[in-house]
Amino acid sequence: MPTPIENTLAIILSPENKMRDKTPYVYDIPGSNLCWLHNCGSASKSTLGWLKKDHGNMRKMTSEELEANEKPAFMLLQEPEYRWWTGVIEWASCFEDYTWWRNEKIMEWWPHFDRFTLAPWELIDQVDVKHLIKVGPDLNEKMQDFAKEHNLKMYGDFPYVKPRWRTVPYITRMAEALKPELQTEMRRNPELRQKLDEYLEKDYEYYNKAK
Amino acid sequence: MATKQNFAHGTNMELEGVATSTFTVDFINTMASETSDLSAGSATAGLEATRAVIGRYVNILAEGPLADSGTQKTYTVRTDTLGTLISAGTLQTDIRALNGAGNVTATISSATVTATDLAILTAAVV
Repeated sequence: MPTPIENTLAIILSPENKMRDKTPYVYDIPGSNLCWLHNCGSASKSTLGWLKKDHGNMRKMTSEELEANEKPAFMLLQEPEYRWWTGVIEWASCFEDYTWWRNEKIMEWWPHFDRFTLAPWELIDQVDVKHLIKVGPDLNEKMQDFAKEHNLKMYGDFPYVKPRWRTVPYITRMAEALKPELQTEMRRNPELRQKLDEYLEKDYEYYNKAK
Repeated sequence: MATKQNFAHGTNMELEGVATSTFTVDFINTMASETSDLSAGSATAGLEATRAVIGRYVNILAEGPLADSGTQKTYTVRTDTLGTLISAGTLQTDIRALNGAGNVTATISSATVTATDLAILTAAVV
């Protein structure tokens, strides 16, 4: 009988698995002239929480709706490398203490493993994104201004939802152990560092344009 | 002569007869419309599909209602069969893998499964 980690690997490596899918998730905001391009790891739970609370019937567009969509999108962007690290922590939460970076099949995907590690530029290139917003300590004020400017409803503050790795102790411990291990691995194998830099290069272009 | 053991109040326990564990699935997106029949091949059978995925590994003893605008659900299962299914990511990856597989329309590719003890704050009762 396969162990849980063997099951996990079988699911992840299955050809039917769509975890690395690059389809953009665009949410229509009823009553507004904007839509929102979802971006894991860039205050996406906060944004989703805000839009669900204050814009009720918001929902993800179907592929047909997306094709016919004429509304420009806004998107939040976290600092690219920071975002990738938070993404890789979420990815690593699938493996307990299994050293997935020694699995050759998985590492063929480096540095994009799943939705959390998918670079935002891969989504931006598919959608008409007019507004890029940097995630930072002033996000609350920035989002309030953005909402006012674009006639979006925001009752009270922009919500702040902490990422899971900062709130769930066993994931926090895993994250703290993972980062130095992976950094060491990247020092030993500079090709990994190079591939990551190349993958994130275009993200920095967008990030530098963001307000 | 029998002596009294040091008293220690047992907390965080169950009294049903089997040890139980609880975990919360955060689908991220609302699953409120995902209530159709999985056996009929429906494209909106996300909740049944999730139940089937979990049930493939471990008996579900109880599950709560959808909460947090239809995005989260809490399940209680037998601890003895749960093992490392959560920490080894099996349930999480299997639920994420439902995304785009035909029985779920909601986007659940970034769903998370998080182990929790049973503690529901008064402010968060559902």
